[in-house]
Amino acid sequence: MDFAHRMEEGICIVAVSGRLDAATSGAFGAGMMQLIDDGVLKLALDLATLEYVSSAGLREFLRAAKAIKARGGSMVCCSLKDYVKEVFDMSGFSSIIPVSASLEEGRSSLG
Amino acid sequence: MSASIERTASLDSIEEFKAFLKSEAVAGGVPELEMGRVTLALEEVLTSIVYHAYPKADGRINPRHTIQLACKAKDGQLLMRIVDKGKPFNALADAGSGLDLLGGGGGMGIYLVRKIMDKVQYERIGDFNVLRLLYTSKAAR
Repeated sequence: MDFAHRMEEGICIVAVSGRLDAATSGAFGAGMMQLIDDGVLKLALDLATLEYVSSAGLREFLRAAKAIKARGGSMVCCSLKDYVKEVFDMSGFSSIIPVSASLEEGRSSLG
Repeated sequence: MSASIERTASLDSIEEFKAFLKSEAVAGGVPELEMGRVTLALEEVLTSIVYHAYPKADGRINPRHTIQLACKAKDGQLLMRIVDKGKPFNALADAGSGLDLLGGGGGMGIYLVRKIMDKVQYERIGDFNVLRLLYTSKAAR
């Protein structure tokens, strides 16, 4: 799992690649919570190169979404690969966390 | 069961279990396209066993703690049997519903397992936890 972030026009863009499973999701979750604790209120996750997610990864997405919402911010997941989208749909995540087809669309939705 | 492997109960073993399952299932007619979700179900069950049936002492892995996976696939139908010698633990319990995700509670992985597999069953047999999971490919339904 690789995790990188950059700020663009007030939006924090987090690119996550590789696998989010029981072995790797802890580091991902810690990275996300650090950004939120540092005051990020608009977060766009670029998942174009995320190959795999299990329930351990889903839990971290949810934890981050709840934390940012509690601070009055918002988060969007962008560019999901087919497999990741299937897991989001199966788990009901697609109706809990905003999902955008592209990073551009996701950034626009955050204003 | 036509084939089986036994490996240490550790997250490091999961990829090997998944590769074995994929190979057997595809040979038995389950389309490769459907194997992403099937191996996810296996990973969720194995992760649950590693964490709960075999609680680790000081984070160390005990090589005597193992998990056995046996599988049989034919005409697009896949039967898995997963056996461990850990403490009595039903990895299929507490699935809850999708809405439980909002609360951030556990059971999310098992919820996915139940969504993916057609039939799931747990039995405690002697000193063993025995899980049986059945998957029928879309074309074989």
